Amino acid sequence: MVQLEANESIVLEVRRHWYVIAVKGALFTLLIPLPFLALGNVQVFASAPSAAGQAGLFIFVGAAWLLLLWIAFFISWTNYYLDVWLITTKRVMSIEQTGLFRRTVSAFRRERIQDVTVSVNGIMAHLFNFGDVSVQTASESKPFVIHEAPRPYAVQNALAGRGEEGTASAANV
Amino acid sequence: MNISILLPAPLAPFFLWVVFGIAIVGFSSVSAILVYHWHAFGVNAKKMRRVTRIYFLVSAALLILLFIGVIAGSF
Repeated sequence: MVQLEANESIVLEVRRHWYVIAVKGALFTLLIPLPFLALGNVQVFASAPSAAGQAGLFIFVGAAWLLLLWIAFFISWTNYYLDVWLITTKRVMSIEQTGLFRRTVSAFRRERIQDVTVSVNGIMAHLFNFGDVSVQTASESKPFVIHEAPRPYAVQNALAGRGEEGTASAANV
Repeated sequence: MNISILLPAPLAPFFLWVVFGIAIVGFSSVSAILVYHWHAFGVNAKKMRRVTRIYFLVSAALLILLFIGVIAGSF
């Protein structure tokens, strides 16, 4: 779990838009029928097993494939869910999860923020209202970027500390 | 197009049990890694508990199906 300082609380959690994981989910769903389509054309055993054996083989391959997809989807979801920005009352924590064994945690104080830039590119980004939010701080030469953040302008307002309005509207992200 | 990957019939049950064993070991390893990540790095403990429950419920159903497949496929 994330360690917070004394008198510090999380104001906002920002992770990629649900559209990102929905697209991945749709791809995994499209892969479901693959072995069932192929199974009819593949002969595995030299002598044909009984009808029960054939049904068993069909169940076995189907279940193994579904289990594989299920696990792969959850690995994908974990990478999505743990890749998050936590905006607290004092700091911004950028947690970048790229793969199960690659995790980078950076934090900077809110008063160090110099510039917040939002870029919304593409039809889907406009339709679903998500975009990239990049933050330039006084200490780092490279900006911190969260990709495909939902309601990016609300996040920008919250980061720029534009009063209650920004934080309150972004809290629903 | 017909593809043939021919295994001698007596090897069929053995082959299924080996694949089942590999599936169990693989599933246990990946699940342990996932659960560790969810509980060590998850921000919302309640949500992580719900996700863990869903993950293991569906996985258990698929593993039972896999086991039924091995038993039935052995005949």
